[in-house]
Amino acid sequence: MSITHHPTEATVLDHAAGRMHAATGAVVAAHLQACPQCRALARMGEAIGGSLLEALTPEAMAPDALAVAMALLDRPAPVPPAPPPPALLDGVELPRVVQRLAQRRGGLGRWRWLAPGIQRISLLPEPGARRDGTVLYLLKIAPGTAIPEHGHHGHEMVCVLAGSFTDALGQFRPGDLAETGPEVEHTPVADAGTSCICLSATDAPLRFRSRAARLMQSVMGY
Amino acid sequence: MDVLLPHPALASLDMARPHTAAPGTARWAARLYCMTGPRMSTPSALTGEAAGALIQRIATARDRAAFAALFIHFAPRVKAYLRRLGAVDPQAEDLAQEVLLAVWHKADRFDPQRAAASTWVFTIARNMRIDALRREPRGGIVPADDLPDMEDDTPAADAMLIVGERDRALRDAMAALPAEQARLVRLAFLEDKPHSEIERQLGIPLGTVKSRLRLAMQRLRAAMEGRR
Ligand SMILES: [Zn+2]
Repeated sequence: MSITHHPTEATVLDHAAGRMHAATGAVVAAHLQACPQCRALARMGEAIGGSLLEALTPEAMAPDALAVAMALLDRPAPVPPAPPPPALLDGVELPRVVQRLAQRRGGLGRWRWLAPGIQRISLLPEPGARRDGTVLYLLKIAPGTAIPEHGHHGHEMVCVLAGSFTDALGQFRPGDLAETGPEVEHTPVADAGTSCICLSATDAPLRFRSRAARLMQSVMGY
Repeated sequence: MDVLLPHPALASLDMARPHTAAPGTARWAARLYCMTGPRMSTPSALTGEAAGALIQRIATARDRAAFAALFIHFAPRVKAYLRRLGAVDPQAEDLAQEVLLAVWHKADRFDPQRAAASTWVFTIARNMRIDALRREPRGGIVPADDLPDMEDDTPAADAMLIVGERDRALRDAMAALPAEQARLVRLAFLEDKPHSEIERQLGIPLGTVKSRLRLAMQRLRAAMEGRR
């Protein structure tokens, strides 16, 4: 797999530092799994985190903290065995981060139509979790379908899992990550051939340009 | 020499002749506990290699004294980390506790070829903090299975030095950073603030924050890759 579109160095380090929202962090994790180059950078960030942790002035734990912890060592495994995660979706191998999310909620759920040619499986926020304006979903875009031109209040991050799409920045193929800031407007179009499946996160709602698209947004909750 | 006050949890251990204990052994860990336990806030003298050896003792022998020594060293640091990132006390204490319990349960995933002990503990604390935030409204404790992927397929060595050397090189390089850059690196990892907030706080423009951080990262990276 030849990856040509990477997250910025700052994004990889934010990920290593644990500064990203769960949703955007998951998209970066999917890219890291596919990209040794960014993984090496993330490793370096984690090593920096480790040495900063080591250098922190310790804050005393409660006097009985160790005794409590020792008493808990023998408690049974903290999590009951979960069903094995689905590894494939439409024949596509899912990144580990998606497998784990699916495992926690007991399955992936099914594709739901979002618009003609566009289907979605919602992953985050998890049911019952706090809604902080960030969302994570899988998108399946039929060949030749355009995602209506949209800008963003926040950041959008997309990692391609299968197929490909093309926008003003070029072609995005499996493993490639597209990172879009608040000021960018773009119109990704799924390439001909197979459907394009991506993992997509936004940290604020999309804002479509055309009235029809805005209507679709209000109806579909996109 | 301090008065030795073994913790009740360690009473079952063989405490005889601790001065003969070799580093990494249970007896050595117990002795370390006795020396540092009564003064939990004193920095304990646990080197990276020793901490790694203790984690491996847990993996291979479920060594409770090794756990105690790791707990004494890391729990107060993890708590400090969580508090710097805004956790308040009952939660910071509980989560630090859970992070160390995750170290116990997942010790067999630790790979000393890949990461220093402090780095591994950092990634666990980081992930469990994120997960706790996500689950806040439901409360309760985070499942300890949401751990970093140590089992991925990255070649252990990469272009990097071996872990011990790499860690020392990194520490030296961090100490040698200009104060401003060092401060930005700390802020980037230990404050839950967007870069734009850091900009406001330090009174330097966002572009400058980013370029100085980048410069710092280049230096640290060069040090870790053995170029200097
Ligand atoms: Zn990459």
